[in-house]
Amino acid sequence: MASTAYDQISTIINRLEQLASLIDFADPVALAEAIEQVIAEIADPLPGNVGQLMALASAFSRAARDTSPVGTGLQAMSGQKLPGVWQGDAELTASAAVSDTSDLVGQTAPAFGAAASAIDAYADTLSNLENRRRDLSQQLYSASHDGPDIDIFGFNMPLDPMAWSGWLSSVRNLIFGSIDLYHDLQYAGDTLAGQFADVRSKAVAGAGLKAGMTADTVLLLATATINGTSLLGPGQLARLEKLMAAMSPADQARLAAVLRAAKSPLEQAYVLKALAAGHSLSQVITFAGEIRGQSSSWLTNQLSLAGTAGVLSYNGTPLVQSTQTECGSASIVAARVLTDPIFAYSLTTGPDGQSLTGSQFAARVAEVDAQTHDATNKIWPQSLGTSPFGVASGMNSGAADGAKYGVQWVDDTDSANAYPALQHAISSVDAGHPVPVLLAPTLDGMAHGTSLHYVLITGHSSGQLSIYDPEGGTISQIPDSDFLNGTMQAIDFGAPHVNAVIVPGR
Amino acid sequence: MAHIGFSAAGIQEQSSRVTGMADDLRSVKQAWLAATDDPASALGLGELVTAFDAMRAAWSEQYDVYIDVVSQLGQGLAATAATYHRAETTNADRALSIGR
Repeated sequence: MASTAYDQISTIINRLEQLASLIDFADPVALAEAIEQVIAEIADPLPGNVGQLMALASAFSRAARDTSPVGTGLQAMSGQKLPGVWQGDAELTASAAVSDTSDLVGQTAPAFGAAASAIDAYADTLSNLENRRRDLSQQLYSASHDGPDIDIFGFNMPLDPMAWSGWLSSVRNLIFGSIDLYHDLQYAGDTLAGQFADVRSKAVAGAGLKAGMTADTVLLLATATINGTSLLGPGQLARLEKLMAAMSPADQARLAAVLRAAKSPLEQAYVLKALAAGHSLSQVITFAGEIRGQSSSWLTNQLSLAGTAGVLSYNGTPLVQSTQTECGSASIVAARVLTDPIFAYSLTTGPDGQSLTGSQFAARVAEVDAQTHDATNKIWPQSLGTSPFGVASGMNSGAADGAKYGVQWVDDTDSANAYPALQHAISSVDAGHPVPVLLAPTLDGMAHGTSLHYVLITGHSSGQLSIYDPEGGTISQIPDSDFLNGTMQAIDFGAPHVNAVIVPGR
Repeated sequence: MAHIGFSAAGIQEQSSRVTGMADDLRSVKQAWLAATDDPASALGLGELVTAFDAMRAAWSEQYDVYIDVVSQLGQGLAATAATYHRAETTNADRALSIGR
C-alpha cells in the first residue's frame, strides 16, 4: 500500500477549515452540500495499520532481546585475560576491543526498546484517532439526515429557530472536531518521526565502516563519549565519511600514520573530529602533534571544556557571555567549541602551547565574543544584541559542520505553526548540530525589563534536551515535550517563549 | 567465570564462542531486517516511512560493525590459537627430545 504524504493531510485540514468558515454564512442548501463534502473528506480510514505497527514494534523488541546476550557475553569476556590478537590503526588490546564492542552492542537494546515503545504508542494513538474518525463520520452522516426541516416556500428558514441553532452548533463542533482529528494525526506523526531520528542518532558506527576505517577505529569513534554524549555525532561522522572517501591514497596514509602515532583512542577521536570540523589535513596533523600523549582529563578539559559535568567550563571557569548583549555571540562560540576541537584548543591554549589559566581563558573568551559580535552585527545595533540572522551567519562561519543554518520563526501561540519548526530543531540536534534558540519573555517580564535571550540546544537523548545557557555556562536537562509545546517552563531562563530557532536547512 | 589462560585449547574455545556470537548477530540482523522491510502500509505517512528507513539503514550498518568487529576478533583468536598450538607442539617436541 502506498504511503500518504503529510501534504495530503494538510490539504484535508485546509478544506475542512474552508468548509467550517462557511457554516455561519451558508444557506441551508449550501450547508447541506458542505456537510456532504466534509463527510467525503473524512470518509477514508486514516493512513497506517495498527496491527502492522504492533508487528513492527515487536520486531524491534525481539531484536533487542536477541542481541543482548551477545553484549553480555562480550562483557564477561572482557574481564578475562585475552591474548593480543588485535592489529589495526588504533592498536587496541583484545580486552579493550571486546569491552568497547560490548559497550557498543549494549547500546542496541535501549535504542530498539525506545523505537518499539514509540511505534506502540503511535499504534495506540492511531487506533484512538481512527475510532474518533468513524464516530465523527457517523455523527456527521446522522446530522445531514436529521437536520431541522426547511421551509418549503423557498425562504430557506428553519421551522424551529431554536432547533436550527442547536443543530448548527452541533455541526460546527463536528467539523472542528474533524479538523482537530487531522491536526492530532500530524502531531503524532511528527512526534514519531522525531523519535525515529533520535534512535537513528544512536547508531553512529556504520558511517566509519563505510569510510573504510578499520574496525577498531570505528569502535573508538562509536564509543568515544564525553559526559555520556558521543564525541562525534551522526552529522560529523557522515562528513568524515565523505572527507575520508575523497582523500588521495597518500593523504589517507598520512592520516593513518597520525592515528597510529596517537597515544589513546580518545586522542584519535579528537584528531578525527578536527578533520570533520573542516580543517585541512596539514592543520589536523599539526594539531595531532600538539595534543599527542595528553591524558583523557586534559583532552576533555582543554578540547571540549567538559572537565565538569553540567557546565561548559575550563579549569573551573565557565564559558559565559562577556556582556549583557552577547548571549547570541556566546551561543555561537559554545557551538564552535562543541563542534571544533581546534577552536576549543585556541581558547584554552596560548600561542606558545601553554595551557591558559582560568582568568586568561575568560579574557580570551571575551575577546572572541566581541569579535563574533562585531562580525554578526554589521548593520544591526550591537546594543540590541544579535539578530537571529546574525546568529545564523555566525553559525555558518565556523560552527556549521558543513550544514547551512537559517532562521525559523516560531509562533508558540499556534502549535500547528510552532511544532514542525521545533521538531526540526530537535532532529538537527539528533544529527549532531547544536541549535541556538531565541527565547522571548512574557509581557509581564517585558514590563519588568526582561529582554530576549539566546540559549543553545547541545544534545538530545531519551526525551531530554541538553540546553546550554550562556548566562551561567550551565548545561541543563529539560523534557523535549517542554520545548515542543513552545515554552521552556521546566527551567527559568527568564524568557519562556520560544521565538525562533536557528537550524540547518532541511 | 573460569579464568582462561593462554593455552591453545583455551584460546580456541574463546575463538569458537566469539565466532558463534558473530553468527548470532548475523541471524538477529537478518530476522530484524526481514520483519521490518515493508513499513509503508504500517506507518501510512510518507514522511514517517522516510524517517523509519533512515533509522533502519543506520542500525543495519551498526549491526554490520558489530558483526565485522566480532568476526575479526574471532578470526584473530583462531589465528592466535594456531600460533600457540604450534608453540606448544614445538615445546613438547623439544621436551621429548631432551630425554633422548
